[in-house]
Amino acid sequence: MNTINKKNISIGKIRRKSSRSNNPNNIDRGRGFDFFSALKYQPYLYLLPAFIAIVLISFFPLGYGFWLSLTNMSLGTFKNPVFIGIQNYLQIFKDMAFLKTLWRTVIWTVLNVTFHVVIGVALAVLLNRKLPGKAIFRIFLIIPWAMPQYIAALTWRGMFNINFGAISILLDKTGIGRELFFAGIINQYPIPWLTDPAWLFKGAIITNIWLGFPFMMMIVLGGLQSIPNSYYEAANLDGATGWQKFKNITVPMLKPILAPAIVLGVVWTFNMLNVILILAGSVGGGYGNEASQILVTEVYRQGFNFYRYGYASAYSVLVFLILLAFLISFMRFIRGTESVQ
Amino acid sequence: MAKVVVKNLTKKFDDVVAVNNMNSIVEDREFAVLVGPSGCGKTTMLRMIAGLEEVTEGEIYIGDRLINNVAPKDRDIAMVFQNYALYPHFNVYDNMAFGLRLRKTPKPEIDKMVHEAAKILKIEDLLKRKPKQLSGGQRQRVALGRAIVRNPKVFLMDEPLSNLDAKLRVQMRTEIVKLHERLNATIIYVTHDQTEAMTMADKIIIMKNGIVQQTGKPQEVYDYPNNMFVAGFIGSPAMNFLYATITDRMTLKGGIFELNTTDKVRKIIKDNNLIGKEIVIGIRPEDLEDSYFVQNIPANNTITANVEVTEPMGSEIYVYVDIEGVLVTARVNPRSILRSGGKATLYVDINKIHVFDKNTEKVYI
Amino acid sequence: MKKILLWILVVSMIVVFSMVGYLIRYKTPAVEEAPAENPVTIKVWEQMEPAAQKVFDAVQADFEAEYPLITIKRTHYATEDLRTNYLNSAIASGGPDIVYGPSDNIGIFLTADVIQAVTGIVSDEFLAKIAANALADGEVNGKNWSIPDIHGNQIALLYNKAYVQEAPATWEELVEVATATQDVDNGLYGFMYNEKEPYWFVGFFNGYGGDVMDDENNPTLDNEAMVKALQFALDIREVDGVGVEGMDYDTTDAAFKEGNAVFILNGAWSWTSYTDAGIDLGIAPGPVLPGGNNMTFYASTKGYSVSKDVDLTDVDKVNALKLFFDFFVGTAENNAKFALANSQAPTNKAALELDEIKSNVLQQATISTIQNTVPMPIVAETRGIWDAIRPELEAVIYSGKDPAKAATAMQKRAEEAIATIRVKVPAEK
Repeated sequence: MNTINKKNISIGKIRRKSSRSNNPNNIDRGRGFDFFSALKYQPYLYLLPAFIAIVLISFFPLGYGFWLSLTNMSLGTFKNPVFIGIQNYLQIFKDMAFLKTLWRTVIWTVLNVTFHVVIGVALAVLLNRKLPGKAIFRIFLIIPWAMPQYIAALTWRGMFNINFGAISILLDKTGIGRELFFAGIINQYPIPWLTDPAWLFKGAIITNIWLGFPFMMMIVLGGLQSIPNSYYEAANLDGATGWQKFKNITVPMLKPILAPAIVLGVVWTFNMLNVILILAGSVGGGYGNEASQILVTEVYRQGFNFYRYGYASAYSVLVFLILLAFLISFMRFIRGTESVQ
Repeated sequence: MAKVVVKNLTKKFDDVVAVNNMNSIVEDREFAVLVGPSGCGKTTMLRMIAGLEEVTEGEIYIGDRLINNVAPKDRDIAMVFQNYALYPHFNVYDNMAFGLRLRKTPKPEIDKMVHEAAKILKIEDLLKRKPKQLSGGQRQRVALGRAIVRNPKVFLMDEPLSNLDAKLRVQMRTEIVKLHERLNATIIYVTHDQTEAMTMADKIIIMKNGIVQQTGKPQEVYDYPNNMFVAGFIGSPAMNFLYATITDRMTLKGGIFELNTTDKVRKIIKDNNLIGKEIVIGIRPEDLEDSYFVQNIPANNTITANVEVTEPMGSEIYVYVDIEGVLVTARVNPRSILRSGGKATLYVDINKIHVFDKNTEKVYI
Repeated sequence: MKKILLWILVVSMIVVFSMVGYLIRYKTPAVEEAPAENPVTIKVWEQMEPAAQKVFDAVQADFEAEYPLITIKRTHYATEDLRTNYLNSAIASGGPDIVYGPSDNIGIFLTADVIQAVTGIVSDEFLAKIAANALADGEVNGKNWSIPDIHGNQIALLYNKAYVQEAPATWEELVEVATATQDVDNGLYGFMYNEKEPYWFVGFFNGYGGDVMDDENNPTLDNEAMVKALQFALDIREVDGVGVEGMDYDTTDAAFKEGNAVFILNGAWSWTSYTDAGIDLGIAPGPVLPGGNNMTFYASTKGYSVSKDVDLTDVDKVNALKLFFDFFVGTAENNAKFALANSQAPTNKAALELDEIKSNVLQQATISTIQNTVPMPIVAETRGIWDAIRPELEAVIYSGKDPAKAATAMQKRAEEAIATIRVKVPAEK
């Protein structure tokens, strides 16, 4: 009974298919195996290994991290953590430090990415012109990106030293530091870059801007080179100024390239651990002053300094959700400014 | 409206000469087409008129004004680009209005001009759309519209149809011609497509290697080419070239053929003292016919050769025959039964043949 | 379409979880009681200096030649990686039998319940071979959790003999010599040290009679000793006129190597690099603090701990481990090799008497300065102490925070941090 039914269905299906291809001779006469519908599933079979890999390396750790955030896993409960619901989250929100750190992280991210984009675009526009020695400039400007972050940050730490650092010496020898101080732009002189938490934070921002702009520059340069020159020529005939051309041609044409780069930049900067830890001189267990920390350094401190895996996981989940919320709204904003397709 | 005059114009890119000592006049309200193979200097020429390339030597006048050192926006021209170059985040209206706004044209006037242009181009219902949402043909119209609203003395068009598909291209061809009639403007139009040149132009300027080969009305250029290049470039399928020697009897003798000559040709042979010399014969495909369909053929007016391929077009058949290693095209009667592999005897209309110098490639007739 | 995707996701999840389940089920292989002549593999995870790793390989070759049935599998990790990976291996699988590292790992491993007392493996006679002050460093709750093989890591006063012949006994003397010798305008500094690192600072605290924790491992930071120590740290630059703002590990190290510092405080690990750099190095215990005792820095050991997963009923494994410890630590010559490679003192009493140790100037300096140290606390709570001291110390020396207030704040921070470390210890402990 069952098999007959199946046959009927299969023949029906084939007949429909055959009529579409205008070939009535192609009717399968009662083969039990439904070749065409099997064919329909076959592609998914090929995809299965990739699915498994993604589940293993992406979904599983994500889920595991989320599960950890609902447990009290820490040194003392390492082998037998207990499910404690959302207590970790409650504890985080009870602490005012979380909001302060979040605010600082937002400032950190916004400042960094803004400067990355502005400097990157400005330099890319310059490099996209006819310029003598362009190739050499380009190499010099890519160096910050090519250098390992760890080494770059260590070098900056050396340069920030209040007595021996290149920056301090430069500010001193040129007299700029004194001028800035008397002008009231800086409140301390010489600047205690590494020893004052607020200055450390500023130093970290400078370092990270230096580290990050070449990426944007390269992305933008690639984007600029893909804009046909005729757009600018048409604008020249219209009598547009340089700024009008930049605003009406360069920016909108760069948008599809810049948007994902900004997304990446935000995620990277939001989670930039190295620079702050290294500048604070607290790599390998130590921990600087709170006034220069961001969310991800707190995750690091809780997770790898105190081994509070559950609590640190809760922090990580929050970081994840914050970034997710940002990305969704950012992509919506970008799509909103584009034409309706 | 104004005429465009180019005097002794030369453009060099480092050592490469793109335009070489060019002299041309495009009359007021004329539709001039600059045509030639790629790299012939036609686009460079146009860009110099637009002010997008600097002039190396020579002078360009629009009207009576020398414009060598006038900024592009002040030359009173409008240019249509091959890729349209529409501002991506402006809608159609703003794209067309942008140039006017920069010129501080009053708003109501802009509005009037844009709507007028849109009406001419039948894009009134697209004004609110962005370039992304338009088809290629629609973008082309917007690009034209952007040029029209400027109300320039001269329109410059750089291969404006080459990004369109074949059918749309034919359609836009006639539309641009109509537009020209309606606007009564001077248009300089660059293309590599001789069909566009033939169908659209009042005046064709044919260029090669930065040098003007011939200037004239389409039919003039077609019937009386200056040299082998023009003869081969204008017309499709292209003119056939055969080597021949002029005999004592004033016939044109090749390896497998001997053609009689008309009085006109004989006079030229005498005047130029060509007897015994090698020359090149140029025969257009339509001047070759399947001899089956021609009555009373005098002697020495045919060529017999092997048929390589036949292409029935419906209204005619293209027959490709091998004459001494040259693939010669003939447009024959559609009822011809010539088939590849067979022999064909082709009648040559000796009144229409051209004779070129073998070395200078210049035309005798 | 979406249904199919979902279906595939479900299937792949099932596949993954069943794979994980399989791995978990088969991860704990019950070692059968095998005859003693069966081959045994000892897995060692270590955090050794490159020179010590070379010594390990040489000693391992000797060991395996002598005991062909025993194979040693050594894996190297950096400090933090060793801790984290070892902890993770305890819940996953594939962890080592022995974990080697600095003694402050012990507290963490102990709290996480991933190591066992070494007394289950080695005998009292074996432990008697090891110097008592070294052994004490790995002792918690009256049990030994580590077999130390090197001892030291202590900070001492280093001086450049090109400028000073004899080490000052007191801080006042040091300041006198330092200020007389230094030439700041030409980049010669009288005294430098890593002023923001608690590991240096506790030397002052201990010297004023402080101790970071009491017997119950509760922090004891808010006291007179802390206020005095903070005041002292602040006065070094502000009052005594030695040192320089912004001095840290790198600047101190570089200045001394280049002959630009007269006195510095630095640890035993750095000493060879100075003699290598051609500095005529003098080493002395920390000087007597004004109104206190000598600066008293921590000394600590590095050693081998035994994984909780080692089954004491597995006779082969236990025997192999015994032989391993006897060979690597119990044998004076081998222990001396590790000590020399690390530039730290050996822990084997017999090794202390060997010629190569006795004739080595640095070894003797290490051994003698150890006398002036206290063992570094190794319980997990210590991490909370470091975490509390650092920001307050910085606030005092960089921002002029009142030492008394800083001491109070430190205590509060430490209590909070330690509470998080101690969170929810299972009741049966």
